[in-house]
Order: sequence, then C-alpha cells, then structure tokens
Amino acid sequence: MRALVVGGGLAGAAAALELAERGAEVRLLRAAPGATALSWGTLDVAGAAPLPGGLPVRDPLRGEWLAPAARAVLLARRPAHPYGRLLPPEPTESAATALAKEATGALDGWLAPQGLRVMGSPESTLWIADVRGALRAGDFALTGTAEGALDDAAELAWVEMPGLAGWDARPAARAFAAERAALNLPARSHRVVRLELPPALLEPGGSPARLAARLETPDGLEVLRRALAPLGAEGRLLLLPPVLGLGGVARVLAALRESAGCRVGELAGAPPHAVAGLRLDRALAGALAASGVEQRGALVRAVVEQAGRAIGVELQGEEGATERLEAEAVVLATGRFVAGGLVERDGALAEPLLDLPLHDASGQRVDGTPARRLVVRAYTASQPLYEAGVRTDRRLRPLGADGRARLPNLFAAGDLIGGTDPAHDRSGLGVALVTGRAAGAEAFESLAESGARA
Amino acid sequence: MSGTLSVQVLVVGGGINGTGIARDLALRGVRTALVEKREFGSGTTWASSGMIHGGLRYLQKDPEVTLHSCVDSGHIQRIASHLVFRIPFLMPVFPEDPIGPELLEIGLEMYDRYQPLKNGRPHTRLTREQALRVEPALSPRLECAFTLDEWGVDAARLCAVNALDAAERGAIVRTHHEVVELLREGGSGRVRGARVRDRITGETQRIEAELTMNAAGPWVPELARMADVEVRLRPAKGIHLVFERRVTDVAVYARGVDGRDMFTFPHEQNSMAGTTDDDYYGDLDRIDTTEDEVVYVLEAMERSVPGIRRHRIVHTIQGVRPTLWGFGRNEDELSRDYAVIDHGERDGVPGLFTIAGGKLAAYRLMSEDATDRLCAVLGVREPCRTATTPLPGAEAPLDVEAVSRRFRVPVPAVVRLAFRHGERTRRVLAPFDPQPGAGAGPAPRVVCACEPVLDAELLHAAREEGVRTLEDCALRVRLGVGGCQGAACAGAAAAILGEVLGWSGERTACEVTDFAAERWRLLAPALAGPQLAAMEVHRAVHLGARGFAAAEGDA
Repeated sequence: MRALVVGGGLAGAAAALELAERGAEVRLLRAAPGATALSWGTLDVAGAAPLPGGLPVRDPLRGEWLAPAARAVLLARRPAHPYGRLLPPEPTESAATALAKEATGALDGWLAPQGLRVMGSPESTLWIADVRGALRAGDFALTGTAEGALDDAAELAWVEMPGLAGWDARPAARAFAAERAALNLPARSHRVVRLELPPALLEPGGSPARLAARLETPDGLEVLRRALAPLGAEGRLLLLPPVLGLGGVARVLAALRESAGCRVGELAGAPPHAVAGLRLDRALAGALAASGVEQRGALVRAVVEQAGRAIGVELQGEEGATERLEAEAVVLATGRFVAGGLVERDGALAEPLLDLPLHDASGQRVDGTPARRLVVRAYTASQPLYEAGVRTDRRLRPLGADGRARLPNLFAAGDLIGGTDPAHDRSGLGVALVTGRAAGAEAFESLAESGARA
Repeated sequence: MSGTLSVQVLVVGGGINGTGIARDLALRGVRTALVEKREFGSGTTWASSGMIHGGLRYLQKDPEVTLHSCVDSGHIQRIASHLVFRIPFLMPVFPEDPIGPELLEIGLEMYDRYQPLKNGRPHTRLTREQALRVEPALSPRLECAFTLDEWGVDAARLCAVNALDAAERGAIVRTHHEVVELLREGGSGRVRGARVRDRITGETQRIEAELTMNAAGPWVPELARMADVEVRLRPAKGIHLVFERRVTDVAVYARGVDGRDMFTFPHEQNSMAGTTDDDYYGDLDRIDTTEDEVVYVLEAMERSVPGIRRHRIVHTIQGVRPTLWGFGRNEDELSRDYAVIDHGERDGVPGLFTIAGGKLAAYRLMSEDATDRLCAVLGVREPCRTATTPLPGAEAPLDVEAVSRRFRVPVPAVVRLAFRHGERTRRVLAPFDPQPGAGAGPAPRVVCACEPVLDAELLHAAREEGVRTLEDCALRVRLGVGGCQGAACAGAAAAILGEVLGWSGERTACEVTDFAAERWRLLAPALAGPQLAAMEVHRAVHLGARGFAAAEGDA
C-alpha cells in the first residue's frame, strides 16, 4: 500500500505524517523549499481580524477584534474556502476550535521530538512584534517566536546586534512604542540593549540564517551566553531577531534564560529574517524521517493515470530522462506560485501536472487567463490571482472540468487548493496543516478501499 | 502655520523644466522659490526613456528639434558627467521592413553630421553575423543592422540634482507642496505668486513673487486656469516596461504593429522597453498602465528580441507628455518643439509665464530660453552659466577604489554611488568615515540588495536632500526597483528615514503601506511569469502587519 506525496512544505508533510501514522508506506517528493520555509514562526489557523464595519484599515487595533475561532467560522462560510469542506455545513465556533486544536495538537506531537513546540489557542489572540516593531495578531506560534509573544513582562529590551543585516533595534523599538501610544495603551517600560558578537560569529552585513547556524554550535552558544548574561534583569523580556539556532532553538533559549536570568524570545521576521521558517522546514523533515517516510529530492513532471486512476508520477531525471514511481494514492501539495504548484505558461495560468481547472474565491474559472487580468488594483484587497487554485470535493479530491473528482485516488492539500488568498486571509499555514492532515486521512481511506478491491 | 515668503520668481513644477529653470535663475542670482507637488521628476520626467539623444525620429519633420537636442546633449554630458551613460543602439533590418538598408543609411548619414555635437560616434553597418555576435538576443531573422550612438541619464535624479543645486545657491525648494491659488492683484489681474499647501502637514503659505513660471508639465492647463488663461496641450500618454535585469546589452530598435519606432535599452541595472504615444484625457494624478499598452510593447519588441517575454517585468512607468496642441494624423506626428508663453503679452495677465512641450535632451537650452525671458522682465543682466557650470557631483572625478577602502564599502556599491552622486559620494559616506582614534563605527550597510542601496544613501537623502516620504526614495535613491519591489527593504528603509525625520510608529507603518501599494499599482497590469512568486512573498510580508490588517468582509 504505497502513497506518494508531492511537495514537502507543511501541507505535504502533514499529509505524509498522517498516512504514516495510520500505517501506510509513504514516499514524499520535494523539489526545493517552498513557502513554508519562508514563514516567520507564527502559524495562523485564522489570524485575528478587526470586526467588520467602519474600522479604518490602517488603524485596526483601536477596534474590537474577532477571535481566531470566530474568524475561522466566517472563512468557512465563504463559498470556496477550504475550511468550508472540513467543517460541518453550519460551522460553529466550537467546531472550528476543535478543528484547530486537534490539528495543532497533532503538529505539536510531530514536532516536539524535533525540539519545536506549537503554542497558542484558537480562543485567544497572540500579539507578536516583528523585526520592524510592527504588531501582528495571530493564534499560534512556534518555539522561539512564541517566547517573544508580548504579555505583561515588566520591561522589554530590544537587543541591538551590530552587523546583522536588516536588523535595527532602535527604530523597531521606537515604532513599537509609538504604536502603543497611538493605541492608548499604557506606556511600556522598554529599552535598547547592545549585544556585540565577535566577527567570527557575525561579520558586518552577516545573514540571519548563517548566524543562527553558528549560534547553536557549542562554541557559538557559549559566546552568546556570555555576551547576553549582563543584559538580563529581573522581570525583563529580551527580544532578539530570529537567530537563535536552527534545530536547537529550545536548547539555545534554555541556556540563554539561565545565563541572563530572565525571559528571552524572538521577534517574528519576514524574509530575509525567515529563520523560523527554515527551522519549521527542518523540523518537518526530521519528523518525516522519524515516522519512516521516505523523502526524496525530485521534480515531478506529471501524474500518470491509467484506467481512470492515478497510478504514479513521472520524475524529471538527468539529461531529459524520465523515471516513473508507482503509487496507489497520490497527494498533491505543490503550493502556489512560490513552489510552482501553479504557473503562468504561455501567458496563461495553469496547474502544470494535470492541467486541473483553477478557480478564484468566487468560483470563477481562471485557468487559461493571463495573470494580469486577475489582479485588483487595491493592494490590500483579496486578489483573484492569489485566490486561484484547484477546487476539491469534501474528500479533498481536486475536481476536473466536469465538476467531479478528477481521479478517485488523487488528493490535494495546502496552497494548491484555491478559494482563499493566504496573505489577505492570514490562514496560509493553518490551511496547509488542516487540509494536509485531512488529505492524508482521505488518501489512507483510498488505499484501504483499493486494498479491499484487490 | 501660515507665513509669507517673498521672492523674485516662483517656479511651479519640479520636473526637468522647473528644476532646470530654478537652477538657471539661482545661478544668475535671482531670488527663486520652486514648488513641486510630489517628488522631483515624479510626473512626466520620470516616465521618459531617460535619453539625452538627438531624436533620429524628428530629423525628417523637425530638424530644429534634432539640432537643439544634439547641441544641448553635449552640454549636459559636461555638466552632469557622472549621471550620463553611453547607450549604443542596434537597428536591425528585417526582410519585411518597408524601408530597406540603403534608404535607412541615407538617414543615418544625415544623423552622423549631428553626432559630433553630442560626442556620438558615426553609424556603422553590421552584417547579420556581426550583429548577432554583438547582441545574441537579436532575432536571427535579421538581414543586417546599423549601429548608432546615444546617451542615457537617470532623469529623475537629474531633476533632483538641478533642484539641489538651486537650493545650494539660495533658492527655496519645496517638495510635496501644491498651489492652491494664484495670488492676483485687484484691477490689473497681475499674478503675484501663489498660496501653496504642504500636502503632508496641510500647512499653507503665501509665496509672493514678481513673476510666476508655470512649469507644471501636463498640469500646465490646470494651473493656467487658476489665472483664467488657457494653455492648450495635446496630452500624450507614454508607458515603459521595466525588467528586473538587462534584456539586451545594447539598445535595440523595434517596430510596433502600427509602424511606430520603439526600443528596449539597458538602464542602470534594469532594461526598459517602450514607449507608447496616445492621447490622454484621464486623471493626471493617477495614470495607470493598461493591458493593451503592455501587450502592444511586448509584441513590438518580440520581433527584434524574440525572448523578451521570458524576462521578468518588475514594474511599469507611465506619464503624460505636455505636447503642444496641434492637429496631426496621429500622436507621433506632433512636434516635440516647446513654447515659452508670456501671459502678459498674450492674454493681458502680467506676471505669469508658461513653459510647455519640449524634450528632455534639450532641457537646459529650454530652461535658458525661459530664464532669459524672465530675466528680461526683471531687468537682470547676468548671463546664463548652466552650459558650463557643473551640477553637484560633476565637479571632479571620484577615485572609486580609494573611497571603497576608506569607507569599507564594496567597489560595486561605490560605483553605483559614483554614478548617482559623482564626487559627492564622499559626502554621502562621510558619517561612516572611521575616525582615527575614535575606533571604527559600523560600516555602511546594504538596505536593498536588488541594486545595492546603502543606509548611507538613505540617510543622506533624508538629512541633506530633503526627502520627505518613503515613496520619494523610489525615485531619489532607486529603493525597491528590482525583483523584491520593497518586500525585503521597505520596512528597514522606513525605519531609517523615520529615525531622521521623526516619524511616529503610525506614520512609519503608513509609509511602508503606501510604498508597497504603489509598487503593486505600477506592476499589476504587467504582472506575469516568475514575478508572480515574488509578489506572493511581497504580499505575505506586508499584509497582516499593523497598517495592513483588512477587516473581515472587505474581500
């Protein structure tokens, strides 16, 4: 009973882990790191949003906020949002909460042995500052970023690290303070402290990822421990950019807490500060290996079908050769444009493996359309171009042109499923996680069915 | 706060005409104020192809325009030596072309006579094989090709440098200031300056002036109407596509489906392709590129450079030429000549002048003419010195390697600074000069890696050049002009500017929001291919941070 998962981001990994847990033989193919590796340590199932009606877009924090679970319900009520296929037809907050808790609980179970924990809740909002000092409202975060979540620490200390590319503690701290003032929140005691690292660890203009790798070596960690020790103080939360190790972030944090004598956490960081994304990517690879999933670096060129079923995939081999891998069920978790799950080919949008029909959030067919016709001029609006993806049935099987499942044993997960603009809806990793698990479960069912048939 | 300023001349419009005139006036010792409603060069000048050329195209119908452009191009090369770069052109000839190589060569021989005026080399004729060796991206269908020689410039920077020089010589220079009304004298109707409003702070101010020069480009008629006079233009929209990297090593001519000449050319780290020329009667404050224009340009270019669609378009630029009004079978046939109007003479409204029309390549000459007219009224006898006085930065060459060593900046980043700031690169880097004994402070850092934009240049722009918004930096320092379109640099750059300019967190967030949204607006009509993934990251970076959180239901 062999299943193939195409794509190694959070969606593909969740599908493969779900299959493996149920006892299937799973092989996962990935071409390169995708959008998951660019994420920043938060994991929004349904990032909090201001309540509808009247809030100035630029000033969301002054108004009432919708809790993530309530927002997930709203998303699920949209005609094409993937949550709509995973929640009951009349979605409730308790159903959304259960779905989010179950999914993040499973992820936590997979990642914990790799040293990464998932923290948060769909019933409350997690406030996290990013490397520019801007506030982000989310529901879940991973080790490192989660420790940087803002609560009632007596004093925030922004750690300046001279030389680190793209990180300036003073403006970030100032922006953050001004933001609190704008919100009429009580001024927070905060300061900027300076952490000097030797050039062997951090050369001028040094990249965050390289520093992270150096800081988790025993020597690197020792230097950091000593340098950070004098910056600690009772009741203080030391905020660093995301550089505290790749695989060993929990260990690094524990060592720093001990030496500084106070709390230490990381800010959320978009690329080029997406070290937290790399961390998640690595931890998923570790979890897959621990579950016995065979991982292989390969570029899939086509899904092979025979007698109305998927029977495997074709890989791009060396020098134009092709190789075929067989499978009894296939999960596509190929992402959108970043990962190449969707492409613009000859001036038209297409799904490159099976030419699956693509739809935007309103259900409009958009494959065959030039990308430039699918944009709305307002940057902040949900963009049909970035809502584009396949549609699935309730078993997450992508639909063909006739509106029925394209192949009975082919499933889709993550960004490839359309109907939501991940950046606009702030539910990208959440969709990847819940659809990945669900697609894995459905693929397992399909394996069982074909086993019974044989 | 409303105060009153008093000057001899108020120049309205910070494009190439306005800044050129303000500098000329300042050089002649005339007390001058210059107001620009956005950023220097952000209207028509920015949207030009940035060519200091003679205009082979105008040779047949407007030889005067060609002559003036060539003579002035020579001057501009001397006064802005650091800002100009040679652009070799290839003109491929295809079997189906209506004009064969022999006839073309006659035209080029005529143009050769103008080349020495602008330090250009005479044309050469290349065989098919030679042409393909020079530019492998050319279509192999060509029969033969001709070379000719032109010059390019960062046109927005040229405006800024003229304005900065005017300011250094005593002119009052304001960006983001718009005219809300012209001050009129009761009875005579004489124009006595203007009331201007700061579009960022909302403050207004009276600027009293003996003479007011309307150099508002396509907005010329709008400003003239404030004095109840009419200036007729035939506004013509033009767009360019901007590619992430160089599509070709040299500029290449192409012909549109309607027979119009277009070209693609290397411009700083990018390549550009264009342009179009269409009557425009829409909103001048919000000009959008359309899908038609994008396809029209790509189809034309494809015949000469078949692989052009594989290159990544990172944004479009668009503007409206303030072409003088006239009938023509099509927009291309209209004259590129210019006019200086004395409204006292023409309309009985003394105190107001207008300049309209013209070409970037002859901006200095047009400014000289306009300034002569103003000075005649003012009774100023000082001669024009703009043809010989170097613009800031062009005073002396820069020793790139010495600067690189001293300020710890890699050579490519210094070369880039030298191109933009010339000899004044040393001033840009001065705050980072390691002082003996004081220990080396931090070296300048790269804020935008697309084209190495240093924090030093941003700081200089904010402290010394009067930059007021993050969006200003797109033109002033070329921030976010590459593949990232601000995804990687907008936040960091806003933090640096905000520190100098005292922005609140709120303001900083808004600046980033506006910058990201403007990049999207400029790219959206041409969004395609690999740039789809880049913008997916762009949106993930920007949306969801404070300032962008969208309310549920606004989808």
